[in-house]
Amino acid sequence: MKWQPVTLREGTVRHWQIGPCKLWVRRTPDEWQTYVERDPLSPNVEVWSSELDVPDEVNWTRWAAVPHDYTLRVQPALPERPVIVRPESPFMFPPGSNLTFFISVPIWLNISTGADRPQLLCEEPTVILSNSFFGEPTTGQLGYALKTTARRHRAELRQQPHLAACPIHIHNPSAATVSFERLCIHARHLHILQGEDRLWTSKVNVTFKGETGEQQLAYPAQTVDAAGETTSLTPAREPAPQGRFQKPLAVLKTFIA
Amino acid sequence: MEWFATLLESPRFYSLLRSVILLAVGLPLLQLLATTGKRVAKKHTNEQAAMLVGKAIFYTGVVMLVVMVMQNMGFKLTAILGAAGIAGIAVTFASQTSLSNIISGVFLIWERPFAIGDVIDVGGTIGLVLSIDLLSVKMRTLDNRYIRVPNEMIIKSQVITITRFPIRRMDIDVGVAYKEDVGRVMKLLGEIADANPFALDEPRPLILFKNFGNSSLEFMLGVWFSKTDFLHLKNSIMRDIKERFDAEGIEIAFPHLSLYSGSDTAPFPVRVVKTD
Repeated sequence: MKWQPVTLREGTVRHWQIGPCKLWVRRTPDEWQTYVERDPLSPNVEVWSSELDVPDEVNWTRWAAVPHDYTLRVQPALPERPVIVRPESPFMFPPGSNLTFFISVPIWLNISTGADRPQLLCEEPTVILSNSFFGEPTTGQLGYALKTTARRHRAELRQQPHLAACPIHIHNPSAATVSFERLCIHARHLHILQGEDRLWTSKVNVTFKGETGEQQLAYPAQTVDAAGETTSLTPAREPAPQGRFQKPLAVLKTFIA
Repeated sequence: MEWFATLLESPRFYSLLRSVILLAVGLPLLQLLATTGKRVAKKHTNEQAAMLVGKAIFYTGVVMLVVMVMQNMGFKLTAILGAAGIAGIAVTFASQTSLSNIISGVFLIWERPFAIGDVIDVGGTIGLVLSIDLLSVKMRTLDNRYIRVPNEMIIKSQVITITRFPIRRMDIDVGVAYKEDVGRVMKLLGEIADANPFALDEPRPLILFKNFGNSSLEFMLGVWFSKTDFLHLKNSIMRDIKERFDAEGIEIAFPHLSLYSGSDTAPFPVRVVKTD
């Protein structure tokens, strides 16, 4: 029962492990208590609401609980800050390119309580991502760094429980070849969906508008057909602005005539 | 009741009444105008400029109100203004510093080199800006002391706004022993920066082989970071460098002094003493 609310009676502890991120939640008579640790050496492990023992010397974070509220939710979420994606090897998009590639975005765990009206306790990243910056040093925006192999096929994607596959659709109707150097994705506009065997995000459409480097990023709510049967898990934190041209350039700014 | 009838007949009573009414209506009205002006200005400018607009409206209004009241009371304004002019010259001479600070304050508000909440460095004193007033800037230093810097001093000296831009670069000098491989050291420094979550991957870290030092090969690692992560980065990256260099067997240099016994560089005589 992935991502389903669970009931924790007083004095009980539950454990989750989503890839490298291990989470323990304890319910005492007056409090919720959480503890998180990360083990980068076990990225494939998946444990859902088990009764595993708590490790020694745990430094619990305490949260005052609403009396008689025993419902706990652990939901996937995406980073609030933009994710600045950089390919591991150069990737060029010649004129007329119309293709999709996939990136794997580490999820955050959104921990909330309450049966009817969820009350957020905290959000914990499954992986601590490095900081990155996009744009001019005086005016740009802070984000998380993400390196990608930019896989073209679903089968080539890493199958790990803490990663959500994000389809990026590239369309280059301009007359210039575009070099993919960095791409700034506003993850707060993405939805999370549960696929048959993995998490997916809604897709990102990138359209280039010529040699000026201007491009349009669109964040439709649906994902790609390659994801197969999906069900919606977490809505976007914020709806995407409609029909706005962005210039997250530097990104894909190098043009080869 | 007779005194009341006399009072009603007196023209002085009516001028006094008019003055009271002028003040009673005028002052709240001025306050309202000043508040509205401040609110409107705040929408278009910053808080300091809005405060200035509010005060300008209020005090100009007060001067006009006082003139109206005095006229109403039958004072001769020409004489008063003449006296005020002489007094004004005296006051101006006496308050040159204050006036200079006020004018500097206006320039500060207009130029906006920093805002409330910024961390600034004024002549070596670093602190968080608490308020920018007409006479002075109030700061809280990092060790929690309260500092008042006159505006005139800020205008005259070099001020560094440390938190103006979203990111900054931290330059760390690293010296290693002469026997080490320069390329390997530079590669390791790059890997250390890449592995630190507080170090930005873009802009790329700057790695410089700076100099052949007296006791070491001198390198500089310039790491970009978000302005809020200064302490996190400083603590973590220094530890990372030490741990990684230790793990890789890179010797971090310390000052060396080589002694020669003479022009022929003959070795020092060494006496070996047996101990228990």
